[in-house]
Amino acid sequence: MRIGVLKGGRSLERQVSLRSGARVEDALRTLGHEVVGLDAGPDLVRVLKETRPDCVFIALHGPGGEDGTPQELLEILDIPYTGPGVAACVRCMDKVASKHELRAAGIATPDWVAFNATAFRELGAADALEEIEARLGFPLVVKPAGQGSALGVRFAASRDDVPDALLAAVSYDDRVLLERYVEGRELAVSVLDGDPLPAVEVAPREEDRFNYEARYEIGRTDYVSPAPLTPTESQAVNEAATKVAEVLGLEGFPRVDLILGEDGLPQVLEAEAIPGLTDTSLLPMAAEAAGISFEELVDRILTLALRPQQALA
Amino acid sequence: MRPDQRLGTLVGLRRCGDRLGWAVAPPPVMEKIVLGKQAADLCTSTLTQYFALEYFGEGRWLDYVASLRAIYSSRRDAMLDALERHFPPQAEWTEPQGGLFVWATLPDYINTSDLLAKALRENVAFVPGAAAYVDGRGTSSMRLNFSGSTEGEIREGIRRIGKVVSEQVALYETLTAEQPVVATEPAENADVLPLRRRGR
Repeated sequence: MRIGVLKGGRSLERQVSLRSGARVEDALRTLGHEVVGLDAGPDLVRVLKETRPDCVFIALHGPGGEDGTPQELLEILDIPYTGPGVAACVRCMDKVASKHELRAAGIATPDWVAFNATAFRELGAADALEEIEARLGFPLVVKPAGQGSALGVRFAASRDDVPDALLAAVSYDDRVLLERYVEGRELAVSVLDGDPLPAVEVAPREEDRFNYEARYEIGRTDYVSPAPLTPTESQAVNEAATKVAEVLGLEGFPRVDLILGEDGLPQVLEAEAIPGLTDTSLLPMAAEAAGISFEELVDRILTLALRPQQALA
Repeated sequence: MRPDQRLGTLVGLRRCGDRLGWAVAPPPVMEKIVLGKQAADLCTSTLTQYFALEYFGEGRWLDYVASLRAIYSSRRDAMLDALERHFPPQAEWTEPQGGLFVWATLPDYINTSDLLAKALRENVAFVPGAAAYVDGRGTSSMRLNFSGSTEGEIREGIRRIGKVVSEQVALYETLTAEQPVVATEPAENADVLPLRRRGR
C-alpha cells in the first residue's frame, strides 16, 4: 500500500514529530509499504491530492496535529488515517474540557481551576488567587490548557512561585489550568485498540521531582517498563486508562498519564491522542514490554485505521 | 575572554560556506584548541584556506567590508530605535559596535524560552538567551539578529516581540501588584557597550 506519513508541522513539537515520523517511515518500509513523507505545510492538501495515499499515518504532535485539524482535512479528502477522529482529538487537546468529561464519567482527576489570561487582565482574577490556592493547596501544577506535551508545565511549591508559573503557561496558551499536585507514582498507560499495554513508570531523580523540564533531559529521569505493580494496582490503572480512552473516544493508540496515589487509587492527569513514537517514547517502550516490536505496533495501528467501521468519532 | 585570546570567523564576511575562522591564544591554550579541533574535524580544508588567502591577497575585500558596515549599522540603528519604541521600560539591551546581534535582557521573571512560544504565535522568533550558556544562565535574555532582515521587517518584528513582552510584564504586575526588579547581567564582550536602561 501507499502510506503517507504526516510529520513535522509548525507546532513546538515539530522536532519530536519528525523523529516519530522518520521511525514510522522506516517501519512501514520494512513492512513492504510504499512511503510518502508529508511535512505538514501549506502544500499539504495539494500533495495529498496528487499522491492519493491509501492511508495517512499521522505522526504529528501538539496543536495543529493532534487537535483535529489534519484529521478534518483527511475526512474531507476521504483518506483513511491513523489515530482518533476529529471530535476525540478536539476533546483531548483541551485539557480543561477533557478533565470535565472525565470527572462527569466518574474518573478521578486532580482538582483544578482554569482561567483565560483575559480573566487576569480584565476581570481581576488575580484577586481570587488566595481562594484558588486555599482550595488546591501547595505544591500545585500550572499548565497551559492546549499543549499536548509538558511544554510550559511548572510546579509552584509556594505562593511566590505562582506568578512565574502562570507567565510560563500563558506563553503557550491563553488558557491555563492550576491543578492540585497529587503525591504518588507517575505512570503512563498506553491503550492499543482498547487494550492496555503494560504501564511505564516515570521516576525522576528526587532533586528533579518538581522540575518538569528535567524529565526531558537524558539521564535525569528513569523509566521503568513494565512498572512494578501489584495485580490490584495494575488492574486499577488499566481500568482507569481504558475508561479514559473510551470516554474521550480515543481510538487507536492513545497514552494516558496518571498518578497512582498512596491510597492505591489512580488519578488521571491527561491523555495524549497521538503519543510520541520516537525511540525514547513511552508507547513504543510499553509495546516492547508487551512483546510487540515497533514494526508490529505500526502494522497494528495501520490495520486499525483501515478497519471499515472507522468513522467520524 | 581575556584580551590575549580571540576568536574570529569569515562566516559573516564570505557567506559561501567557507566555515573558516581563526583563533589567537597563548601557546598552552592554543595547544588544547588544536587538539580539540583535530579530534572534531581532523584538520581545516587546505583548499578552503587557499581560497581565503587569495581573497585577502586582493584589497577589494575592504570595500566590501565598508559596504556591509553601512548596511549593518543602519539595520542595527533600526533595531535599537524599535527597541526604544516597543520594549517596556523594564527591558535592557546592548548597543553593539560590531557583529550582527543585539542582546536584550528582560525582568528575571520572564523565561525567554517560554516567551518564544508566545512570540511564535505572532509569527516572530528570536534565540532564547539560555542557548548561549552551558550553566543555566541567560534565561531572561534573548539574542536578536539584525543582519538578515530589512529595516521594515526589523521594526515590525521588534514591535511584535515588544507586544508579547509588554503583555507578560503587565500580567506579572497584575499577579504580584508590585514593581518588579530588573535583572542585570554583566556584558563581558569587549565589542559591546555595557547594558543600559531605556529612557536615559
